[in-house]
Amino acid sequence: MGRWVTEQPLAVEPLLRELEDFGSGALVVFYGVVRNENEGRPVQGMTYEAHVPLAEQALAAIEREAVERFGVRGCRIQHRIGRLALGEASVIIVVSAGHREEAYQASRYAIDEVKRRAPIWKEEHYVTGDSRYLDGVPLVRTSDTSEE
Amino acid sequence: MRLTVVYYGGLKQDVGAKRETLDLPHATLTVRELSELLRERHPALASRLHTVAVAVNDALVESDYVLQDGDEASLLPPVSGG
Repeated sequence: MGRWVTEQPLAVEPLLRELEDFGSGALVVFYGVVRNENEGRPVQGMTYEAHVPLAEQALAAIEREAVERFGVRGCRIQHRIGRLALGEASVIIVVSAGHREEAYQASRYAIDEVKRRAPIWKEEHYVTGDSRYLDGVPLVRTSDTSEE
Repeated sequence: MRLTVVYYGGLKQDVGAKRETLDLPHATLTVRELSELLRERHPALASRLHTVAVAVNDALVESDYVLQDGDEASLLPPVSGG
């Protein structure tokens, strides 16, 4: 486990300290948290799994892209794996910027890219006792699409 | 050759295991050939393999990548993090 993917509960304070910068006029913090229902089914928890080395590469790349594309001063992303209870944070994104406009844009970009590119999977646990892996987004470089 | 295949996300349920070791008569195998082999070995995977990405030694690879003895191939289904 490393800088981007962890089994420990996520904490925003260390990320804010990393990005501390008196040139920054806006800090946007996004939390993704475990919700108590999905598609009408009551949810009691979530298990997140990652291909850790590749997920760390992906999150690091998304941080760099957020800075390069939107001109923000810093971006940090952490994703948690393992079993999470309702209300626990699965992902935290912190963006530090000169002004709020680019901070919001970069934050939105980062979470969208995490959902699209990070090799992370979630299994929903329902109140009824069963569970299901959620449908997701195929990684861009699929093993072979020509077979179709 | 000996290959280890590691299954992520819902693929674990389709296969019934997180990982398996395959002892094969081949000297080498492309990722495409591995995919065909797994399609026959695990019919539950057949309809999903075209959406599965493959990583070898912590890098995503294409279907013409040539696997060597001792490699570990990770099968990555569509992602749902966040």
